[in-house]
Amino acid sequence: MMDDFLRYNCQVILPSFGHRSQLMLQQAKVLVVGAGGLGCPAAQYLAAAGIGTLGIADFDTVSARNLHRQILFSPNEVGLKKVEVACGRLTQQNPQITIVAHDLQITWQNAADILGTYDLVLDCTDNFDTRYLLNDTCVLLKKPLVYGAIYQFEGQVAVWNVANSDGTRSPNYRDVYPAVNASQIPSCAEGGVIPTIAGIIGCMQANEVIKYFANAGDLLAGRILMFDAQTMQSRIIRIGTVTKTNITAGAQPFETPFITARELTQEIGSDKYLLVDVRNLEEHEAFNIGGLHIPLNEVEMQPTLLNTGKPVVFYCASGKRSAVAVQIAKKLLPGVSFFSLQNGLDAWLKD
Amino acid sequence: MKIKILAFGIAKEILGGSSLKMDIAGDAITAAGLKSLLEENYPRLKQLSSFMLAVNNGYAEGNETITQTDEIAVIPPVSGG
Repeated sequence: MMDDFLRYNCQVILPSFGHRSQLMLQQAKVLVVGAGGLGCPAAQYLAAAGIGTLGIADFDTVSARNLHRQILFSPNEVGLKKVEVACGRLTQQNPQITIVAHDLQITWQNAADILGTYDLVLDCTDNFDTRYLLNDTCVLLKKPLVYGAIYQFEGQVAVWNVANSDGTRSPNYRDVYPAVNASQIPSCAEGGVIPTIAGIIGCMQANEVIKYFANAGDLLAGRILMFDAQTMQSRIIRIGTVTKTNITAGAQPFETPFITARELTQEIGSDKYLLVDVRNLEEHEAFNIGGLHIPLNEVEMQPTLLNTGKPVVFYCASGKRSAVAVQIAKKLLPGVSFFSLQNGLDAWLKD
Repeated sequence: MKIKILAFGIAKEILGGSSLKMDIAGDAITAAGLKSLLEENYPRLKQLSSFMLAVNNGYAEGNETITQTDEIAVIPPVSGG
């Protein structure tokens, strides 16, 4: 008890906080989805603040290219499971809380089961499919979702699906963006990202979680905060008090057909597949494994190039952009077989 | 009328900068009207499937009227994490 008193005293003495709020944090069950640029700082602050049960969900491994913003990981951990390293570090940071590792990808099959055991979810993911999946699942399960997203120098934060006093729910992600064409929005790997924006936005997400359970301050419910690290300007856009969406079933995201690097290596000389590099020109010129070059945002304009009678294998650096390319191309040419090179050129080079 | 539009995220690239002046026929336009005009002038905005139009820091849609003194922002979705 003395330990608790010392550890949390500086937040307990805050105006509108107190032991009661600390107890609420201790009883809270919070799931962080994505142990990346946003998830690392968010989880660190939530652990430090004494969230009683903190779940971390991620299926990926530590990658050197992300170390600049994924601050729970070190170079000697490259290749290890992110969720294991993160949970180890968080346990050291606060041994008094329960840390739960979910070494898996959240899919429409498991989302309700996993999210269902938590009081609140943080969207710290890096792709639209999972963002919509978390959003729709939280709406169906009536759980608040603390959203964060970053690009270059900019970030967005909001708290979706909070219960209003009259029983209605505050707006969710689909009130703002009903649908997204992922091939037209560059990721951090393509557009770049300043590491500190991940820290700023991840901390803002943790901030909203603490406020939610401590019942302190005004949540970003019905509002979305935009922050620009270049100008240091922030603005809050009012969305409304009640959601206008009517989500009755979880979205069933497209399941991307994969080909592994090993399988592709065996076929590379046989001319069985049409290879298509969907990275940008600089990446393509620096290194490629042959085939056509069609940057991701141009895939939907090139149906004739893709329709050669051969199955198509899209590839990129990590397998993320090629998975989006498969989705886009399949809509254009339902009769053609499309595959994504699993884990991209990273896996190819390793094999 | 001439309106000033602020661009965020990928819209900076599509609109060619972080702000843009646009000539509009007449002295008012609806939010829906401005959205389709933008999509017509910048087809890549339409390709995004959805983007947020904010007027004076409020989400704008449908028949909401926009005039010259309003601050308009085009805010596309962002995926990074």
